[in-house]
Amino acid sequence: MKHLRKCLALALALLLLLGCTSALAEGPVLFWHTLEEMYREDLQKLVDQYASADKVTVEYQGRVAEILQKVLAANVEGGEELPYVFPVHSSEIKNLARDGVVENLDPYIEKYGTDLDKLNMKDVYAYEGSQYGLTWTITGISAFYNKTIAQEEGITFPKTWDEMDEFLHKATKKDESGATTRYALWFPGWDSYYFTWLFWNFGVVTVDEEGNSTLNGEKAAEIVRQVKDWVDEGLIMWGYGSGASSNMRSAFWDAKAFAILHTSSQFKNHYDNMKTKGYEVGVAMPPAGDAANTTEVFGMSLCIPAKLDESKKDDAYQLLQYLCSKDTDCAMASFTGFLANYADAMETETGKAFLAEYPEMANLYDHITEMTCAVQLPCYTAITDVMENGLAQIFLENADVQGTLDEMVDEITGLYEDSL
Amino acid sequence: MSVQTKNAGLKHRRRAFDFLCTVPALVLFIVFTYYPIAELLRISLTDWNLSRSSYGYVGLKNYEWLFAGRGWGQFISSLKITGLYTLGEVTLTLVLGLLLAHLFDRMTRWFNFMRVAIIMPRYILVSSTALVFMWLYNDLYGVFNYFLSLFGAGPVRWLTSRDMALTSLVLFSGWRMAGYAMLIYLSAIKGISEQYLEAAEVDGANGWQKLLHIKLPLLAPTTLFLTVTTVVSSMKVFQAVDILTQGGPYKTTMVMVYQIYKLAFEDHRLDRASAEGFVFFLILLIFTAITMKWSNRNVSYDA
Repeated sequence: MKHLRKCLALALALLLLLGCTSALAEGPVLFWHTLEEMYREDLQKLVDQYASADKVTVEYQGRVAEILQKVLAANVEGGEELPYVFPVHSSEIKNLARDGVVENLDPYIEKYGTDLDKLNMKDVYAYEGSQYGLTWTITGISAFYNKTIAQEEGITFPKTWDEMDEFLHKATKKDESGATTRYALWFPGWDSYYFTWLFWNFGVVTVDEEGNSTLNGEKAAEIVRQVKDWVDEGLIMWGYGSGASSNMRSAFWDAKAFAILHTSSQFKNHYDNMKTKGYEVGVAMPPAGDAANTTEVFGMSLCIPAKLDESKKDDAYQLLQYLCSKDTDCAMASFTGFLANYADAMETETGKAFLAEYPEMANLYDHITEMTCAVQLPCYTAITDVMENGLAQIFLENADVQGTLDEMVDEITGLYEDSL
Repeated sequence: MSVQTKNAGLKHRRRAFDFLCTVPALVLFIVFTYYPIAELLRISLTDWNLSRSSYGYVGLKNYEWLFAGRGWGQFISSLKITGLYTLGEVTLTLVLGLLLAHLFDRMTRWFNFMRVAIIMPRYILVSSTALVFMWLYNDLYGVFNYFLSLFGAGPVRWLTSRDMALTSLVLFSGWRMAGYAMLIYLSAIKGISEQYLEAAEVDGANGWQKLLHIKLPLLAPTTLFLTVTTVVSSMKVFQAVDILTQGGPYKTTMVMVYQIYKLAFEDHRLDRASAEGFVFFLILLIFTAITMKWSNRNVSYDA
């Protein structure tokens, strides 16, 4: 009898626990995102303002490439574990649209009357005339510099390439032995989007839609040799390899680098960390060349998995539309540093308040229409590896400039042909 | 019923019962070993791109790409890097393990503590230790370069130089595995008859000579066991590479498994990755078979 009572009590406890668990279960509308930890609380607050927020579960699921792997794996398993809304990188959207991974949003755009008129980068997320994603985050490669030191030492960040040499010599500091104690500029060489502007601003084609590249042309070789001279002289640090990103950030915050190139989405991160060290951050476009004044822009769109159950897609689109709406996105831009997705976002109250607090960011918003998106090719990731490895070998391992550039172009052509 | 028939029936029932006892293990083996291998082979005969919803059978097209197309260069390169890494790790593990076992082959309290401390890295997650080593190896802020600077030596680009990256990986793995090898050698050393060592001492052999001429030959079966297991596990290295170098710099640490992973999950070419994976499986199988056959002839188990 005693034993029976114990069993009944245990069963009751288990039932209660199950009941509580189901009562605490989160909403079914699953939104996967890639935002770093420092932004997640604010993102949750934004989602909490959504009309059907109680139905929504917000989950950080790793970097955008990791999320894509999970979505593709879920597709193989029949779509059971798919999120309702997930981010897709601008370099992947056309491939995914072509391969039927992401949903065609045209019917929903028409049904809900979504205004795409001033949506930046909307063509990047379109394929064969149909919209497959709505622009969610935009990030442009920009220069961040130590504004405090700039004012103290009378240093001006260069607007054109011709001003680079003077700037680099002025902003670099060395000790008695000739070792650099403060680099004028730190290049993140581990990702190609940080340095494509170097070539585009001089009319060099890194790779086009047909797999052609002029990276081994005269102009490209001239630029590369110039940068190599500056690296060898200790004026520029070319970051590459394991730990390079953390090293660059630490160096900038510790004033061991006067300026760095980084994504605009890192603005708040640098602003907050520099403030703790007593420095202010300046923002600028990378120096213009003789052919263009551009920088690479990329970002993420929000998409709906094509294999998501049809009955869920309506809910999915409504959430997607909310997250990509002008006001919501502008609010997100204000706490992250991503650029707002609508061209007139900075004219809203939120936008004006943001620029009033961070006037430096106007330097980027003024040039947002001049920013360039990289070509979308199935083999583009492998092509970027070629560029990153090739330039690092030139700058850090003293590889022959022309020989290496020739090899890079051969490799790029081969990768393109292999992907057909 | 005759006694013979009864006995035959009993024998059959016993055999059936014995077989039934092995079924759970057999099922696990089939599900987690044989089935994945069969699937690997099947997928390698398709054109499965992970980002596409359907695929078809294309025969040996992926093997053509691997042996006669663009895949050959990167396959051979990864195989070579994997071979070098394996050679380095196995050598370091065995040599360090043996020396440590010889050193700590005494039951004192201090040595007990040291044995535990040396074995511990093997049983801590690779990802955790690799993350720590990523910082120890850091070019600018790493502890190793800091200690070098105290002696006036310049910073070493442990993970970012083409000459050092693979060596740094080998050192990391050797540090992790040496404790395990030490443990195996310690128990094997305990099994060596004291008579041999006493006889050698009477003949005037010192510690080093006893190690080289008595212990080492008698530890041959243990060395073979450690070699085979370490080679096979070393050739499958992935986590350390994923965290420390991601196959770089300049693909100098692009080991086979990482190459297959990139092909499958970054390039989404599950078909080509499966072809490479299956060929790699065959290479490991042949290596193990040759090693076992060689050992049957050349390794004595008399100790």
